[in-house]
Amino acid sequence: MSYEDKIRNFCIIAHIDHGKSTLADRLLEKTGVFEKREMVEQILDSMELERERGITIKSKAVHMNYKAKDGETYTLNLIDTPGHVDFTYEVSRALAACEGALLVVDATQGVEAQTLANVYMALEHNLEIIPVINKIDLPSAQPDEVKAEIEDVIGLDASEAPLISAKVGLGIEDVLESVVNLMPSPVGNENDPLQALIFDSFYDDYRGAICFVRIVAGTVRPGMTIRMMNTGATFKVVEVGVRSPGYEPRECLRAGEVGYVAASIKDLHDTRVGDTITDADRPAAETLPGYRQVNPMVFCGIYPADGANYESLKDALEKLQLNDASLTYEPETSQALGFGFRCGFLGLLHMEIIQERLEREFNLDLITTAPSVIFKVYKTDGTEVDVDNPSNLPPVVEIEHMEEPFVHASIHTPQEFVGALMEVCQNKRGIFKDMVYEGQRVCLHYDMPLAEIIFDFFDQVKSRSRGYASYDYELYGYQESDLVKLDILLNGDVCDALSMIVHRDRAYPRGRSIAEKLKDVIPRQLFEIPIQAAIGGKVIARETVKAMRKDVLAKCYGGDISRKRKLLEKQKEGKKRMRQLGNVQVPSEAFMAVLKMDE
Amino acid sequence: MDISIYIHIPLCLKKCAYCDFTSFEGRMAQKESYLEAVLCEMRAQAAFFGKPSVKTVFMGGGTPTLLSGDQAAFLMDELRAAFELADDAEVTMEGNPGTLTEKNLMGYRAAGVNRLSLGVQSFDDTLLAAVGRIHTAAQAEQAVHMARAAGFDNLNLDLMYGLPGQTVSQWEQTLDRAAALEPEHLSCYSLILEEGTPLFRQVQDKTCMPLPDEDTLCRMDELTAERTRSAGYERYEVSNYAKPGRQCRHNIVYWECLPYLGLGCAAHSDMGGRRFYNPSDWTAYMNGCERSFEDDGALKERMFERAMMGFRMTRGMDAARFEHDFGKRPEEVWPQSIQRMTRGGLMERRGSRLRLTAHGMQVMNAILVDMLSETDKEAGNAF
Repeated sequence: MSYEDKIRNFCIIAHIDHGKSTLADRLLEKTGVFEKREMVEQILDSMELERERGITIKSKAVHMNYKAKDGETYTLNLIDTPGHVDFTYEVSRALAACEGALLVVDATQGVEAQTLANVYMALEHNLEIIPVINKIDLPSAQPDEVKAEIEDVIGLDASEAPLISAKVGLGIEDVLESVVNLMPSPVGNENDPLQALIFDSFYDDYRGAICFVRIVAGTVRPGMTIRMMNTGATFKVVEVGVRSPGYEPRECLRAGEVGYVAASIKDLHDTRVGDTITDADRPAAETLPGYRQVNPMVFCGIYPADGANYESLKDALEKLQLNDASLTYEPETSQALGFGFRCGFLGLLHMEIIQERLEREFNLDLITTAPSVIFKVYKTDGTEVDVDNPSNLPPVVEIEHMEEPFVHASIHTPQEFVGALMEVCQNKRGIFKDMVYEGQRVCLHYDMPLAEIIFDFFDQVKSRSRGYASYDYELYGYQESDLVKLDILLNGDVCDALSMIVHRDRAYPRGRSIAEKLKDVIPRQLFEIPIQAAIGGKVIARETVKAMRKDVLAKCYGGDISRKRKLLEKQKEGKKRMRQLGNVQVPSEAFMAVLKMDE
Repeated sequence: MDISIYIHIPLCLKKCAYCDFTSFEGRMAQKESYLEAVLCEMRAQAAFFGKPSVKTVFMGGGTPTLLSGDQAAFLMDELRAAFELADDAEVTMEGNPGTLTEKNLMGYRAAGVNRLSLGVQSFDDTLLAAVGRIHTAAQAEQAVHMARAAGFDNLNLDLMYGLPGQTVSQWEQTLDRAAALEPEHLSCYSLILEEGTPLFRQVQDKTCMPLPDEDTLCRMDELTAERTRSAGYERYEVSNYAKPGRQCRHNIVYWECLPYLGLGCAAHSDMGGRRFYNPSDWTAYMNGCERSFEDDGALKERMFERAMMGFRMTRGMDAARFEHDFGKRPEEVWPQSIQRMTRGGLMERRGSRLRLTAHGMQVMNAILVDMLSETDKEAGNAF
């Protein structure tokens, strides 16, 4: 038996809440990676935010040793995958690093939309899929029905599927045996020129940027000069090893193995997910397939709620970017919000995660403007400009036409929700392409403007399908669109932070809806405040925040004057947390309100 | 220097659900020793300030009408001995209609009390019970007749609106029954829900009727203005209404930021720009604990307080005295705010006085906050 025969590289795929993280914990515990008493629940989701949201943001790989019933000790590499549409590309690279996948299905819920979407992705990468029926300890578990469903709907043989309860630790050994016995071992020659697939990278304060790799061919060892085949950058390897879960340095990593490579890399942009690492002195003939440069697709302005915190925000963004190459930012100024940054993200979830991390880990109070995509503006003078901030849109007279990014969107859903979801897609200016039946399920294909997807598409798909549907999208290019700039005027003045570029047909309902929302969030003030929505100077909606009627202390507490003054000073502090736009006090929520819309 | 004197009587048979003033239940047995402590303080302060002349006296509470006629006389005699009490001094006593006796009322008159302020609050027995008042509407009417019989020709009734579950028509009835008794003065307070009071908890736990909403309060407010006007009262402060010449001179001292000396537990004083207050803890006061001085007497705060207090009166703040004392006109201290408010019809200059309009008075807090923010910006705290 050669070394690679005793390696299994696999991932776990599951619908949300079907027990993926709990199973991962049990596997680590069973193979002694963690002592039980040291275990914090769901170790793989180590970021606070991940644990709270129950989602995995960044993928990781953990190295386990398992002494199987055949007497041999196997090396198992569990590669965790992020679970959201914004990170589809990262998921595909993680899957490419595996030979097999454990498909966890809840014995009480059966196959769900996400289960299916994940299975299709795993099949695309030719993974051996082993179904695992989880939560059999629950009284409502129906393992036989679920097995039958897996066979009917997915077409996988589930007769041998381990019946387990990750929560109580039942059947974990069966899972490990299945991994050893049913999953193929990696193939590859350790003597060939080096080809290592980067499926994740992160920034370590002491070691610099670290790559998680799957060695596809050849061997990597310290002292070797490596080259990133797509970016061309070269580095000298300082250390290689595995995570279990701490750093465990090794002499080398050989074909078929999974581990980390540290090479004093200063910038995470040099360790792009999907890139191929090769030996600079003896390079591989070709790169591994599937590399894609990931560019931000969603942009928004991020401002400190208190202008004095501009520098802190800048430092925080710098720190986050060290660990997240897909985050971009550059300074911008807004009349309404002062100094801040235009930030670029992979998608809406990515944007929300960054905002939350800024607020939580760096203790910042933020104001965020409505998300935007990059619009291509063709001007009458023949030039073309990219616009990701409505404030930078050239005057209407200078615009010949505009284009917006479109995506191929695929929505997996049980049949009963097809009608409702098609309606959502139509409302979002989707162009129907086709509909594919997959057993009891349907996959809808639409071409849609990205600008509509980033608005509240995710929420709508989830709510209209009671959470059953899932979707995925891929940018395919730009198309001409009838776009206009929608401005919001407070007390007659345009508030630049509330402007957005929208399709002409959407401008009316959106303008109305924003004006209504603002009317509710802006508190009554001394004077009446008109709120208007306008397209190119033409007012399309108007609401009014009435003047406050009563704000006076009835009694003045005898002689205790300072008490009253302090009350007023407190009231003033409350007012300070609002933005002063002309004579209007606007609370931070107002800027959020335009993000969460239901037209 | 002419001053006013406030004497706090922090005793109650039962505390009301909305009250957060310093007052104690179950300390009636210590009444005498409390009065002794107040006298000690009175003599010491009179000596310290050189026996100033006193224009108004206000016995507040708590429940000052828990004092007997003799006790009131004893207090007043000592006060006359310690200070120069003006012949035309206004001497007010606050009282609870549930504690009055004819004998006591005669005693108060004899002691020199010439104004009585009765805490009637409402003429609706259900509402009275709901906020923990110890008397009924009938007792309140009875109290007014008793006071008149005892010779009081200057009466105030305290009324409250915005009570839990109170309707506009309930308030209307209370106003009408109060006016029918023809007191010289009416105080109509909108209930302030104070943190830490039993009522605050009841509202939070929803164990009482809900408080009226903003629109209802505004209607009650408008109604108050209408009914008092037609009954011959003139509004001279946010919550105070008087027949001609019957304004409460003592309270005007507070609103004009003129000097006053507070005696008794938790009493506040402002004597010639120096402000201090007694401990609000009973034992601490009785043990003669040091009074505390307030250190926030900076010019900026003082100027602001003139506006804060002065704007409470319909005639507004004394801008001439402001300029005399601070060397600047209010319009120079808050140029933007005053200009904005004046243009918006919330403020107006009337000769030597700067005042809020009727609408401005309704939103006084917001106006004051705006003024505070303006002086903040000047100090470089903007953004």
